[in-house]
Amino acid sequence: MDGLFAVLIYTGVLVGFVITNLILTHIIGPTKKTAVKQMPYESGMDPVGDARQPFDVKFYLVAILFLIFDVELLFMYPWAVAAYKGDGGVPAELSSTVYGVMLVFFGTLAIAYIYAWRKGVFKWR
Amino acid sequence: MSWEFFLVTLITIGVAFGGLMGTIAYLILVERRLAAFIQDRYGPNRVGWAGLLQPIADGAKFLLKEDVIPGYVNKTLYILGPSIAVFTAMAGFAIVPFGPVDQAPSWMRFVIAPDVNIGMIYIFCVGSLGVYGVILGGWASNNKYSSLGSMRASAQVVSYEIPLGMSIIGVVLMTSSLSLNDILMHQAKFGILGWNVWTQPLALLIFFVSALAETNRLPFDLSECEQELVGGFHTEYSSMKFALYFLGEYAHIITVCFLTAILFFGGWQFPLIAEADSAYLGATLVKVVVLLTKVLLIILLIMFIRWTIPRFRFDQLMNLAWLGLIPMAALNILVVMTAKQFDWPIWTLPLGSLAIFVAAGLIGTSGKFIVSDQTVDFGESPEGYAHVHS
Amino acid sequence: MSQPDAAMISSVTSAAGKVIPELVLLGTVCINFLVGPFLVTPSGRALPGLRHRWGGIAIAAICTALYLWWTGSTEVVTTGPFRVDNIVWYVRGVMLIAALLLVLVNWSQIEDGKAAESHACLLAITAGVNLVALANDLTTLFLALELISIPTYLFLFLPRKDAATQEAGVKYFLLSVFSSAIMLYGFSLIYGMAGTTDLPAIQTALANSNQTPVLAILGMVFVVAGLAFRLTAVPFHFYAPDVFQGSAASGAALLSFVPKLAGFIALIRLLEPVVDAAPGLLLADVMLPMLWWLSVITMFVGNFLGILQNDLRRMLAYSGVAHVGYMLVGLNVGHHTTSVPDGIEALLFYLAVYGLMTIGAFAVLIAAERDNKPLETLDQLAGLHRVRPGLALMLMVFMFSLAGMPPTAGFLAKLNLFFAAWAQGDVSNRWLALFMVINAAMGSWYYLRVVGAMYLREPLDEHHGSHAPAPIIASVACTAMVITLFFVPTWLWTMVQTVRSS
Repeated sequence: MDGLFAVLIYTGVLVGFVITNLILTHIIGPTKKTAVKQMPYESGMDPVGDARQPFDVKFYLVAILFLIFDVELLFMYPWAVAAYKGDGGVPAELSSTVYGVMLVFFGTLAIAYIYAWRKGVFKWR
Repeated sequence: MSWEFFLVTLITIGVAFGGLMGTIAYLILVERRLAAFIQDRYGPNRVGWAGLLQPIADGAKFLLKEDVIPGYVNKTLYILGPSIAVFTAMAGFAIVPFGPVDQAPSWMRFVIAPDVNIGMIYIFCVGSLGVYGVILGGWASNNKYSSLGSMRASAQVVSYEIPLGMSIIGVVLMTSSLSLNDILMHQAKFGILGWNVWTQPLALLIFFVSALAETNRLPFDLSECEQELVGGFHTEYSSMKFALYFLGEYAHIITVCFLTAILFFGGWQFPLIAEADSAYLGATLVKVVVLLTKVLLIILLIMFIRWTIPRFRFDQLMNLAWLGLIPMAALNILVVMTAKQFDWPIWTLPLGSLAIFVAAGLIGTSGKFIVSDQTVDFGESPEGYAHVHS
Repeated sequence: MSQPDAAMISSVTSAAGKVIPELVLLGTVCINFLVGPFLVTPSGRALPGLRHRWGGIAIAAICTALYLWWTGSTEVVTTGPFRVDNIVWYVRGVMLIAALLLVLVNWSQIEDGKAAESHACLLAITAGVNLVALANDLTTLFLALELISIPTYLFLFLPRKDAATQEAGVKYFLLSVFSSAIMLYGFSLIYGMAGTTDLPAIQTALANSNQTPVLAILGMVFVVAGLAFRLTAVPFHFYAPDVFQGSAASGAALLSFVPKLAGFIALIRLLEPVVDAAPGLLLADVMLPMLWWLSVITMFVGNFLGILQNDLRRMLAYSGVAHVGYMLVGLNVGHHTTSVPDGIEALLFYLAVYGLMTIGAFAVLIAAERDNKPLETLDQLAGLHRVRPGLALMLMVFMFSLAGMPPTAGFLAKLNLFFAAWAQGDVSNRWLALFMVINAAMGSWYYLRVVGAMYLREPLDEHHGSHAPAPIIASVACTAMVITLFFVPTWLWTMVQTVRSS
């Protein structure tokens, strides 16, 4: 728990640092508002329309893929720590079972991956 | 929680934080000088001797410039963006040991948060929060360049998160621990031959490439590529807020270089002068210097890469992650777990890495097996970019 | 952390051996997903007739599973991640046969290019239902329930690509996710109370304490609410008619039976300590009235709204709601009766019969489809006995069975439930029995309306519908079983009765 307490202190320091910086520059720097300065920058052209348009669905697809693979990844961490730890990890009798389970896990992952590849999910168009 | 612990923590934070800030300031100078050297020009050499006071001048300028908040932005998120970016990048450093933890002096530890046994997971957790800084900043700016840049950045960071995490699993399997210090000690025990780079070369490659992409460095800085997107997600930022984004990026780079040095290059271990059992006077200092030298070399490597390799195209970037790095990382895990399960001799691991690498290279280059299906149609219509947000 | 003992280790290493029929199904699922996309072009076109091969493979897999189920060991196992007992044996049989019928129903509903995925989803759902019965652990139970829901979203979405199907798919997806979340929240509360995810341990903890923590009761209520979504019990039924109406007939057939089977098995597993409880158990004092009201409201609402429907699938959806109300009676009565039949047995019998008649009804509706467009209103059935007398006859049998009239199995199933509720002796249960009779009478109105439309009205046009063999085979098989079960109910009844002995 000591470690996490230190992280907490560090977090406090960081937040303080960020806020101080933001306030300092706000106070020290000059403020001169002009109409052009307030406009979105588009290489000197007057902006047309709003920037907050609906964006392409492929970004959602990437997000979904990320979720799937990230969850699989999170599942692997505890396994990786425990699998060959010996004492306190996976008991020796279960070692081969766990190995088999992981093979099945990777197998299903591979099937899902091949399916997604064949269906053109990874195609960035 | 004793007062001593509190004080020691504060001192450690002071040392680490000050060191980090100073390093970042001078790294920017180094990068600019290096860029100038590679491009055969001078670079900043006016302020102080050989430009050594340049970072201080830069810092002062950032503070004194006008803090513009444009009229069309979402103010809260606009301010939150750079704050999150710098916060997450810095927070990741909390569990990175920057010296021999077990030989630390009594008034200071060599790691801000000791004994955090979830080490790597903490770093990935905090690191992946960094994408919020980019996406919030880009969206809040209400600028088309910023929006595009932040969309790209989020897709990229999110994609490379997976190979980054997967490449570590091989190392974790070897060590059975997520704590960085345990991983370091595990390598230091066996001397220079114990470094993970010998057993996990492929993991190192994947980790390093993904880390470059995570930090939005060239050749993966699609989110801020000047030719297309002006400044990318930070087009609308100025003065200190802009500086915070920069700080965040460089803090991220430093953390990543520390990780590379510790996970794959034995941390502070070096033959003869800094072994696990060397306890001569000043050994601690030598170890710190060794580690920092390794980190510096890796940072210099990243800077050289920046000026050597041209930027990827976005579809190439995504294909590299999804069709290249992720399967390779998964196969690498498979090789490591099989070797561990059946007690294969240690030299089979680099051989396995090499086999995967060669196989991936053959599949990727020969024939149109993967490439044709995935990229050719894009290559024929590069105007696809123009419709990215239509 | 304590080191696990030998029994625990062997229960883990031998776990795979207990689910061999399910492994066969899931292996086939993997093959379908691996090979399927390589047989279609990236734009989704495939050789005509590909669906027959995938259908054949699905049937082969289910038949293998059936063979393994029939010849497999019936040794009772109560430790480890899976539990094997007679309920498992019964559910496996019912679900595998239902899956066989559903494959036939689905056969002509799906395009060639999507047949692999569709049949794979069906097999995964089948395995999921079996695993719900096998689950001996909250985690396994939740995973099994998700193994049913996630393929179901796909299964609803795959057959057609019009706005109605997509709306139905999205609606079901959102509500199902919502219900999963509620249920998971309940699981976490129960886990927090019992400190274990092992179901037998949780049941002992629940059955032994007279001061059940309020949070555990709350958790149980959440779980029942989450499962009630799957059962389409009122007030969680509202999505059913819309989804049934929007999705293809095969999707509706699946939804009308499979989630209900899974939901009831999960409820039986979770509520065993409650329904068998000695009086005075706090948990039972809360849960039993809740189940009672759930049952009564579900019956009445289902039948009232069913009467008002003109759309065939909406009507069948409400009919399903009403039948869930009847089956909840069985759960209410529970095991604790010395007389034959007891509540759970009657419920299990009813589940099997209900599956036969509802899947059969949908099979007939598919066989009577015109131009690959699903039948919608009652008018489209008008005069069916002139055009397709066989189909009309079979649909009449199913309608009689759903209404609970002899000579069909539906009559016996209702009779069983009635006797179980009546013979148990509690006043509240006798009221349930009475309500059931009233509702059966109310329900026959809209079932008989279908029969009337088929036999008493003239056909609107001379359209013969499709002559694809698969749905006709399914409906003939269902008809045969529904009628046989009326005359020789003992073979199913003996199977059901083995459940009590375990």
